[in-house]
Amino acid sequence: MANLETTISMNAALSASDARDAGCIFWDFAGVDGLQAAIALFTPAVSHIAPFQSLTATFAAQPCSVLRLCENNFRVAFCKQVAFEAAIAALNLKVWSKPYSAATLVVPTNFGLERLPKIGKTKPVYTLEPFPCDRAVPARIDGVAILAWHHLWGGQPTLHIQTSATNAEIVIQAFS
Amino acid sequence: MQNLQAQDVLTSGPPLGPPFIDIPVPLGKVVAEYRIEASSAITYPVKAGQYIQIIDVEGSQCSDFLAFAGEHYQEELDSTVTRTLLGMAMPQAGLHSKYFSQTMQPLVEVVQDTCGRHDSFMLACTNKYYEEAGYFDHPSCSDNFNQALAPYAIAPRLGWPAINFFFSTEVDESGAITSTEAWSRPGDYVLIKAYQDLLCGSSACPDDIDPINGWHPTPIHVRIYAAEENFLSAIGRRSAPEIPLRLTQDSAFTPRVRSLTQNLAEYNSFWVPMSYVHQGDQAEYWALRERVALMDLSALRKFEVIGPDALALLQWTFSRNVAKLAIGQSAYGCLLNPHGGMIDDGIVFRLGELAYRYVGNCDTDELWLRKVAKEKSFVVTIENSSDRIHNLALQGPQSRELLRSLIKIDNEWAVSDLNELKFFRFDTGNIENIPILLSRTGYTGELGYELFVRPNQGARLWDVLMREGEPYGLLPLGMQALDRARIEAGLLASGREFNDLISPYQAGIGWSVGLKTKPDFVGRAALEKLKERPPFVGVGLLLERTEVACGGLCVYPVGDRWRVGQVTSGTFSPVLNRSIALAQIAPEYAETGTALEVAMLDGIKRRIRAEVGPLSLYDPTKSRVRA
Repeated sequence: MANLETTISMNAALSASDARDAGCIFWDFAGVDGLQAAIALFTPAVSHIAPFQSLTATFAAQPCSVLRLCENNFRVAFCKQVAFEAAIAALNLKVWSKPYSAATLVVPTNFGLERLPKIGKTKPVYTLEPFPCDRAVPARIDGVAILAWHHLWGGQPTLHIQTSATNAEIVIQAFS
Repeated sequence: MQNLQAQDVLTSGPPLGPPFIDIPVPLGKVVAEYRIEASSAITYPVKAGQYIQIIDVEGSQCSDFLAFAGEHYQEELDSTVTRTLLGMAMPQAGLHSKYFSQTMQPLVEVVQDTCGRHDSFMLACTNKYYEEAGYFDHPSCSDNFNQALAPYAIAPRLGWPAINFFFSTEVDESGAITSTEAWSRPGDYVLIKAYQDLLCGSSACPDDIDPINGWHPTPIHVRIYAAEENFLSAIGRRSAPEIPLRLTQDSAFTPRVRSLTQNLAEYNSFWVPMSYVHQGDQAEYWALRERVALMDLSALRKFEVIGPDALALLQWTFSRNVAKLAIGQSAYGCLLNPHGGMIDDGIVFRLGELAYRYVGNCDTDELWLRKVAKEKSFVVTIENSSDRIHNLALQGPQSRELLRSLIKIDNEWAVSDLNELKFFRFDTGNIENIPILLSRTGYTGELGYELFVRPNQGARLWDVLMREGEPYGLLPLGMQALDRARIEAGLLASGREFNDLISPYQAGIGWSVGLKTKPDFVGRAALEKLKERPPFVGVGLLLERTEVACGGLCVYPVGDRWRVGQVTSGTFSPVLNRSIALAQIAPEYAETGTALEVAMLDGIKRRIRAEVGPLSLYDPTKSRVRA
């Protein structure tokens, strides 16, 4: 699984070399039964969250973070490899699953939350200010599409910036 | 952009002469204006931030619009890009208002539109069109544009893809694009804002060989307003010839709503929130079902019905028997027409011995009540008080607890404690010295209240309720969550579950017709017959799967090919964790427990089994609203 994950340091003079692997593994699943799969795998509480909101749940006795992308579309962050595909298949629901393989940047949370509104543009229905925990915001940085995800990870508020692998460097530079 | 400097804009149009008297007065400071004579086209420069008002001078006249940006005018309007980015056939004032270029950059934005009927699918008219109809050397918008654009070295085209303002087209079920006479009246206009420095082109369409310009091409007028202006977004709506065009307005609460979301849509001539940022309709929905939620329902219309014959008028026009309403009591029902159709649904409040208030949905209710009063020689006044009274709904199981500590009920009411205020009862009082009328009614299927307030006190009331509601987990609630809740609760929406061709029996509120309790009223004779066997009956459908059934989908008996009804509204019910729908079904198939099938997609590819249930699939006994 391609899993490009980088961390940007708070140092103002950043470069891609400052990045390091933070060990997150992401899976996407979606389909007409996407919500039912999420309820079955995690908690009925997922039906309480709206698109671009997330919650902390457990999977295979490990904590994970579940982000709702649309009515029946979800992304899950795990801290280690899990048999997620098999779990989805065992549900026998109309849902596909695949590893999310684009870039994920880990930005120091306070720095990122302060910097994002300055460099990111959103559609009018979204906002980066405020940007509460367990929320995600689609935005553009220098014309590059990103999904900023502010959520609890390892018990700590974390800011993940997801984008196309080919544009990761542009986003890193924008945070620098 | 070459040749387009600020000074050019100020001097490029004809000098601002005496005001034109055949068009509405300017909306603001005019920096240039142009009269486009019939059957011609012009170009004009506009700076980023300026506004362009395109006015149909005499009515029924189309005006095609082009815009070019970039140093070499290389960026132009692209309707396909626009439709794709917006997910709409045409931009309209509000959230989905921008026209984009082929590079997906916004060029202009619709700010106001008093017509609401335009085209973005067709070319500006072409020589080819006229020639194929047997008219040679006929002027065309495309040719007129070619001539007007030639000085800018913009290559001519056989047909220009344009925004065809006021051109009334429609795609019918067969896929054919049909056109009719423009819907625009004299003085109708579109106000658009430039996002970049632009070279614009506008035409007064020369088409006189079909009805689109009413067979007689007439002039178009263009005004350019300064960028310093700040025109409010608005869509013009007409509800009756006697009622002036109505522009979308804010309620007393909208400024507060705008501070929490930009996701607003036009509903019944008000800007209303669809959902709130960082909340979403699911969170708002659950706040309603489990805690308490606050919503702006000021788009409802209020009519004061006062006088010796006020009761007689309401008894004659309203479906319920309201003769026994006590002061402080209200009743839900509908206004009827002579063939038993529902003109509107609403609530009658008895405010005094001779004073009632009808709260409904339509400005035209006033006209109907006046007409009937005149025909029957009733001594009664009917006054539209909608602008004087705006209203919030505070709904949810904790709404009473929240309000109890806030409301001070006026002494004249028998009820002194909110616990004693029963369903469909109201009183007056104040919250932190803000006078309100507090009604135990709602549109959610939950315990809840509606708070009517003077608009100048509205923002303060919103602030108090938001502040005091915080410990209860109160969330403001948008229309998306409200629609889920009302479908679950089997509550009707105008245009979906009822219209003036649908009787209360078909809509599912036959219980609101006072056939047994009052002697005669509008539509009684028709309703007596309809009651025996309405063509369809309003029911709830519980689908076996989670796929949402949209309004309009057909309903079949299991395994059969002929329809027994159709879905009117559908949603996913979070509390039931199932797809549900409101539907109108032939009486023979409308009994609770009957198995039916909802035909999805093309009606053949997939059917979903559904079970007929009560109209209100959530809390069918209404125990929660009565709690």
